Amino acid sequence: MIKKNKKLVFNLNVIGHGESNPILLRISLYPEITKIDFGYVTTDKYNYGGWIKIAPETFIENTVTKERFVLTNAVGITLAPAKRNFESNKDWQYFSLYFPPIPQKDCTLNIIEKIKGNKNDFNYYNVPLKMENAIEVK
Amino acid sequence: MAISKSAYKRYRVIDKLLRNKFKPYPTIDGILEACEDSLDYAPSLDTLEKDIRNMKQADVLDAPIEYCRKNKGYWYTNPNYSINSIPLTEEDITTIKEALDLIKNIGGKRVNERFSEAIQKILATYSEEFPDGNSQRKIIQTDYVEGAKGYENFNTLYEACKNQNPISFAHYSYNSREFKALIVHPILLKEFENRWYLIGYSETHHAIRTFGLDRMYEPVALKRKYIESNTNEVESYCNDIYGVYPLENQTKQSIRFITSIKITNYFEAYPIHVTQKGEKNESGSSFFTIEVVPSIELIRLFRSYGRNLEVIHPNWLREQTKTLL
Repeated sequence: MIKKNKKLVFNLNVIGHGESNPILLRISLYPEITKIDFGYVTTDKYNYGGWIKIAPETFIENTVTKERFVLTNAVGITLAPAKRNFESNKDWQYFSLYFPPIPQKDCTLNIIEKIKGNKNDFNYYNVPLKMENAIEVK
Repeated sequence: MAISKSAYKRYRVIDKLLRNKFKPYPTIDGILEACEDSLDYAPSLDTLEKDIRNMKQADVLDAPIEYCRKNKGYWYTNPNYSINSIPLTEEDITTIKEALDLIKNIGGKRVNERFSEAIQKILATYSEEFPDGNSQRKIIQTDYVEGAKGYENFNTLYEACKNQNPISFAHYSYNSREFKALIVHPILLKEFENRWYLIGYSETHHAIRTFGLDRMYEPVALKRKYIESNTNEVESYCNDIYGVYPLENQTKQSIRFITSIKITNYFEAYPIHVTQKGEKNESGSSFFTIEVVPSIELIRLFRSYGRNLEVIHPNWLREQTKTLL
């Protein structure tokens, strides 16, 4: 049984709701922060692989309590309206989004860049976090 | 507490004075004078007093230094104490000097800051003790190019291998162009052709796998039971191979190839594997045999020689490598 307020990581590998969405790799629940790691691979849908950015209003939401936690920091990705242009359709980008800490208990999360967004927005619905799947970080 | 290179040089001067039986109880002014003589600069009296305080700290050198009011100078309460308590023979010193040269040339920036600091401390001692050692002149050069990706994780991965800590990291595959979060039980770090790899048991693949450091992102050590891989399997994976990526579903096997006159000498001079055996022909060409698990790198190597190298068996490898013949 993992005690609360530890450093926990969930290896998820969850695909988003659109074909160009990044893959949600890991969610880390730390006493100070919630960190979500993504991996994005460019496609030939856009010239030179297109661009990448994240809306500063991005938030995570507990689907039951509706409590929201708004983005506090982003590493490896620019905050919109600025964007990072890729150089080719064979590029990739690893990036992390930081949010305030969320309670360390079973929950289901939505990760929303844009409410009612289209398939180009980085939205993830009903991502389950079960504490029995959490791995404690040293 | 880390000791800087310059501080360690001063400690050496202080230690030398405190151990001098012919001129005991050096004063702070005497220490300053000795520093001016031995070093390229004059430290302040404050710095030297701080040095003495630091040397006395248990986590630094734990030096038994006291001030003697009667003789108005400093002394070691334990006359056998020295910061160089391990006596070295001339042969030891020569060997260390050679090793330090090698480490400095191939390890300087390649490994990481922490290792470099330790090396610098040793070098500081070495420079003072052996002033003839010209550490500025490079006599070994490697093909390491700065700016390679992944070295920032070297220390984390080294510790994970040493302490047998499973790790979680994000991995990007150049071939499949896919990201994946993985849990790996690290075994060792391996360098091949100037690139570094982590070899470990992957929970996702249920097998030992190789991961290029350049494709690994943010490894974190986990509080999770370490899965120990079978020793024979590890030995085979790490040693019965030329390169780092064994081909799927291939086992250790005998590979025989013939080299042209042009390249035989290179294979004789630099065997590609410890199992390599050669049978030279009268013409100067040579048959070679190695016992390895075929790897991507072996195929690449064979192909790189074009018409100058021909695989005799196994047949499937001959087929794969004859495309450029």
